[in-house]
Amino acid sequence: MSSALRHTPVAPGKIPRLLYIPAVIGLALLTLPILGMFLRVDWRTVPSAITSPEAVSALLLSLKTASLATVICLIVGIPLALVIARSSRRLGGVLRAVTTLPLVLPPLVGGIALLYLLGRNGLLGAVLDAGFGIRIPFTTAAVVIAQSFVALPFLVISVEGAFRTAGIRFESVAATLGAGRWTVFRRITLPLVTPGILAGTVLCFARALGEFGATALFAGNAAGVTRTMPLAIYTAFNGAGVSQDSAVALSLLLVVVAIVILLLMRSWRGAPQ
Amino acid sequence: MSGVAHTSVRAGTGQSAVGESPEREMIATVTEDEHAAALDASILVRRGDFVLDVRLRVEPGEIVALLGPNGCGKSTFLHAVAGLLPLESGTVTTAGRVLSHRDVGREGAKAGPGRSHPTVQVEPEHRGIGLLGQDPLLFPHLSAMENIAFGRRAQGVPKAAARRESLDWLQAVQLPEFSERRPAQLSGGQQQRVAIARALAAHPSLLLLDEPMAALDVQSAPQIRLLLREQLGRSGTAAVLVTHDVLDAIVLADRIVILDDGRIVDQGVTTEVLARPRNRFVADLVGVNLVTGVLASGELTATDPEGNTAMRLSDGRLLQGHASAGRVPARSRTGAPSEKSAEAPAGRPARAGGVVHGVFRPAAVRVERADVIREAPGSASAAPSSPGAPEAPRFLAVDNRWAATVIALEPVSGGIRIRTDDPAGILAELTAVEVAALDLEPGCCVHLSVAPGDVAIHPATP
Repeated sequence: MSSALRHTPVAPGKIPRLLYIPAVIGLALLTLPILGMFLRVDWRTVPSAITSPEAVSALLLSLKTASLATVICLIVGIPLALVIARSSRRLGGVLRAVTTLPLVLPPLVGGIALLYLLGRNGLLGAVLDAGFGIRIPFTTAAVVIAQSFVALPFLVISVEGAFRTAGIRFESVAATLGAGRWTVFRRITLPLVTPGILAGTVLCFARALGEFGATALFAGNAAGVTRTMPLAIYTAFNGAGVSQDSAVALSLLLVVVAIVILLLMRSWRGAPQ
Repeated sequence: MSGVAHTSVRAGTGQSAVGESPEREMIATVTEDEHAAALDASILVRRGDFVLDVRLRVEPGEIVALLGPNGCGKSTFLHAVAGLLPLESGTVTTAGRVLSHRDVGREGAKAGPGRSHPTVQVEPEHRGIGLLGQDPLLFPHLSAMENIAFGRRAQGVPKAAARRESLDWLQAVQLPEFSERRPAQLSGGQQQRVAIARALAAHPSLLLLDEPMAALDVQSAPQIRLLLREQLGRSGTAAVLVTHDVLDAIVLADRIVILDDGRIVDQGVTTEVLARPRNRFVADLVGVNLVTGVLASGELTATDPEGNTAMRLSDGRLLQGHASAGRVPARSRTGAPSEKSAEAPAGRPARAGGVVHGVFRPAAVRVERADVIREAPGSASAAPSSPGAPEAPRFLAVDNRWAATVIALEPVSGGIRIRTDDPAGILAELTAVEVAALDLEPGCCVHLSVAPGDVAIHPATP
């Protein structure tokens, strides 16, 4: 009898009707602002605003730094995710909490923290400055570090979840077939979590692209060096006051870039199946 | 009642246990051994209160079935051999190569100088031991062919050669047209075929089979069982098979080892062990009644297979039967009798007073109504023969005939099994028509009887 119950298909869409009201409000909260922005766009000024040298330089800087930050996150994030996933319950919990900290921290606080670590008088910054003459704050490197700091948790969390779901059963089988640890990692562990890695990469890149608070504090707002798209938008919006239209146009550009990347990732992910 | 029966079985198995004294100086013997076993394991593992203490030797090309009740230590044994569990002490060698070794009391000062060997624990991937479980666990992102080639590729075989080998294997498991399929595009039986090919293609020195047929449907299980037998035979791979299914053991195994509570309680050629159950587990497996007692008189010898004899059960009952000590030719995997086991006498002669087992089929037990007055089922437990009551066994004046109360009727394939309060836990099996004709119900008083010709008596020690 229980097996009959188990196999009875549940008709889709049977949820309490009352729930549709908050669901629609939630959807509106997410889409209406963007729609409103599109409606406010002064389409005559868009071409000049987004082809202006400032806009192009900000966009290129954003793409460059966000891509670099994503690569760094992948290089350190996948091993970190694997370590967390294979840790004991207790240690794994601690590591997971530490990893998620930047996620719940306001980015501005992250910027201040980075400044106190890598600033000229910071813990590590003083050593770098005195020993090697390296100054990180207010450079493009600072932008990449700030973006990695805020984006890494997104990658680690989604990849770690994928590692845990995949489990170690396939790895054990591979070991009984004579595969060493590297072979297992390369040929079994990584391929099994590819969807998780792709999802994590998209989240990570999007977060890096939109990063503002930590960048503003730790890297500043120097045109061509640290002024990424979000900072350019803020500057345009806040600066002279006359160029609010160009701020909207730049926002539009950022939205389009984000959507294009999302679609590219989707199609790539869908291809192997 | 079952408690009483269980105790008597325990007493029997205690004496029939095939325990060589745990000599754990195998390193020395292995290196001198010309004829290295596929597996020579002497394992002591402790997990909480559970202790696994097993010594098992598997000859090259031999298939040994490991059977036992749940929690008897079968899986623990496999994990210890595969290197997934550290030994408390003991040695695991395959083909003369030491994979695990740990001296007894290594931490203590007792280990004499010159006798202790360094602790060895080879990683699972370097053991050359394959593992095939009930879940095929094919790598989902690789095709059938790539799955089979995986082991050889990991061993450094060039891609083209590994590919060729795996195509041969697909042919061997009768799936030549499925080489490019992903596991998700194969049925459960097909997946298990690929898993068999993958395990054997890696050329393991020993294959551990952990209930490989348990998850298959009734159609594919027999096919896979035959395929496994064929391919194990073809590749000459030695294997340890853990199973719940007696059919697996009959079809695949050359030898059976019965494990209970972490110890080997019986072992031998498959047909021999199944034909002469020495413990309750095997008796249940083959579906026979097993009683333990002592030989009443005379001698039970291998040369007198027809001789009538009698045994006395622990409760004083006398059971007439015939000596079952004849030879049973062992069937090897190819179906031909193997000379080694055919020449070996099935059992040592037991003398009067020696512990013996009596075996008879439930269907051989005759059931007659001893009362016409029916008792309500509820009052059956209050009957004078209830468990724990120190009541004299109710054997009647005639041997092989006892009074009992029916406790339960259970449907089994082809009939109805009658469970009684008999102190030895004797079961009877009748057809549904017979049960209806006798109007049997729980609480009925019955007489059970069995013809001496249906009772086989064999020594408790093989």
